[in-house]
Amino acid sequence: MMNRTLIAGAVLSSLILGACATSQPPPAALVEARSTLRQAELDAAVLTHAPLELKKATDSLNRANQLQGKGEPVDEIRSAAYVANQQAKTAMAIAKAKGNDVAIAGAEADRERARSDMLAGQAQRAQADTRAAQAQSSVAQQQTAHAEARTLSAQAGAADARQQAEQLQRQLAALQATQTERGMLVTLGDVLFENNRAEVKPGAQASLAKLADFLQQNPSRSVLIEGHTDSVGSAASNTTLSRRRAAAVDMALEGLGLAANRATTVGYGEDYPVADNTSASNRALNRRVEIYIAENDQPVKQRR
Amino acid sequence: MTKTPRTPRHWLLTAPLAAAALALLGACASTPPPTAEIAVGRASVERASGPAAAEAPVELAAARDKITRANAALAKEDYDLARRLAVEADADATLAEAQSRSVRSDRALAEVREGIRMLRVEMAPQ
Repeated sequence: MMNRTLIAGAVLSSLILGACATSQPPPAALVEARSTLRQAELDAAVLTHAPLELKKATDSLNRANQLQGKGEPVDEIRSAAYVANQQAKTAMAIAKAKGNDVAIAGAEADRERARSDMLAGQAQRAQADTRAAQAQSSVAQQQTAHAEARTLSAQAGAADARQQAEQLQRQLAALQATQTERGMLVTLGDVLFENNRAEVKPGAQASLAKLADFLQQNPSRSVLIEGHTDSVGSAASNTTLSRRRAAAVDMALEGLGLAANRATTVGYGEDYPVADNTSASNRALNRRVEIYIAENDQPVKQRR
Repeated sequence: MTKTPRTPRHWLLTAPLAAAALALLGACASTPPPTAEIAVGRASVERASGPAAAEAPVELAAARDKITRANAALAKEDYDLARRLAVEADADATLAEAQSRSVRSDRALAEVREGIRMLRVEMAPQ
């Protein structure tokens, strides 16, 4: 009697209890969760960067599967599956973010390298520019030095030239010479000659000696000796006299050291007076020998 | 034969019934008020509200909505529903945060790469 009650009660309990048990297929949420989890497990980034998040999702899915296996209410199964799904997506998002962080660090290192390369390049170019500029400046400095040297030598040359000019001036003064367009002119006046004769008086020796010295110091300068007379007498005799006087001066200079054919002699007679022949003193002025000394070795320009 | 105290005859019948009734009442499970789950869910939603607001608005809105419904369920003493909603809200908020972080890191990586590209353009021989 008791056994039958027990059995009946047990059957009743199990029937009532069995009302809670379901052997339903997994809800869509659970299928989706299983799929998302599989996706996360296959993602290498998740395994590297989000293993803890993946474990959390896996535990949640296990719980959902257990609920399903035990026939728990579908609301619970769905909820647990949803949570597992969201957690699997979380794992993948975290993994992506951390992977990006690593890439950013690498890219920032690249950017710094690129920037420092650029700066190094700029620095190199700046250095090269500086060196080029320095090279140019040293060339310029050299050129300046050369120019300065040339200036100095030019100045020295100018100083020399001035000295020479001054010396010449002094000599001109000493010789009582004047500067003409045909060269230096030393005039030997009438008093240095015997009247109507060609011999040079001794009194002329001093002047002629100075002239001879000068000519020896300036051996390259050409010399022209011109004889002139007044208008007294015939033109022909005056020409002859003037020629003879020029020759006499030349000989006197040779006696004082002048080279034999250094000077050219010419007689112009009465043709080139320096004053009119109306007075004795003027006529005396016209009776002269002119000695032209060129600047250089080119022959003195002749009057005709 | 000694006389032993005897339970009522009907106990054998009623005991399984009582057990079944109790079990049925609990709907195959018994839950206390899910105060811990709701606290966790609310904290997650708070945390996600700042950063995720721009990049993951959908997930964040879902999380907020579920916490609200969880509180409502708690008030109605539907503890199972309240717990489920709170746990889901926590999962949604956490996902929202993670997605926001992922989007921002995508953007940051793109910016750095663009910066390098522009540097390389600058550096190219004139």
